[in-house]
Amino acid sequence: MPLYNIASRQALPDATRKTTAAAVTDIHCQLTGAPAEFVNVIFMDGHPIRDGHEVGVVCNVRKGGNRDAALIETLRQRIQAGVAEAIGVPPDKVLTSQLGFPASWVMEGGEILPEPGEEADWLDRQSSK
Amino acid sequence: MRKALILVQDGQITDPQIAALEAIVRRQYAAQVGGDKLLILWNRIPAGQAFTKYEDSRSSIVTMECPNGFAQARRVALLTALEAEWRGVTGQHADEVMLSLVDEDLFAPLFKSSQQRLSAGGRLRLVGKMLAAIVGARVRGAPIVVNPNL
Repeated sequence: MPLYNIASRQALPDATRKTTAAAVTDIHCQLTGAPAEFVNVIFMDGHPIRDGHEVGVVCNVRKGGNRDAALIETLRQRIQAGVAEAIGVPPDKVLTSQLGFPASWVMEGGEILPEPGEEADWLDRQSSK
Repeated sequence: MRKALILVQDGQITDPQIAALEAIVRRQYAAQVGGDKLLILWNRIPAGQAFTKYEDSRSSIVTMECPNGFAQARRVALLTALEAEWRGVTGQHADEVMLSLVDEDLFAPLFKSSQQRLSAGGRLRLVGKMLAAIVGARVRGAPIVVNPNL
């Protein structure tokens, strides 16, 4: 977690997928302070997106901790812009939606995920495994 | 009927491993959550379509539904037991397995999110593909495994 699920009608070139995944990872980490280890980005093609959009992005992220509503909305907008730039379409052609999950419902690295903003101890334990 | 969505990477986990993992998920789920019927949908992501930490992903992502207000101790017990058995089958590093048990009120919008972003025609294609996959899996007596591309 997070898991960014990016769907488009046309298959994106491999290089574009890699660039887009990097952009999403950069934006998520810079804005939230989360480590890149947590960031998953998957792509699906052949998906016609509604209302004339070229791309549909579903963002599943941890909620709570140091993330308030304003930060979550900023994240959505930055992801929309970043994906648009990476793929080469106008931002209004990228449909984004977000779902927030309690960190305590998710396990990764054999441990329940830390609350947003409290990753340091968790990462220390992971690196010592 | 409860649901579980599982993402795995193509070429990483074999069909026999998926069958073994499905049996483990069903057993652990029944033990910790209860005997609700569980629909398990496997998405096998083609190579080059998944990234973790900037690199090609080797992650498996398991998302399961549970009743609202599910006790955290039982949630952790399920995730812990499942993670250990999962890695016993696949040999994956702990970093490569993400599991979650999500209350039904949040699982529902998650489950619908991939449909809701689609055009009407896209939703029809997705539903048709899923139904065909379910029927095919039932006929073969095998897990429901789909390529998420339409």
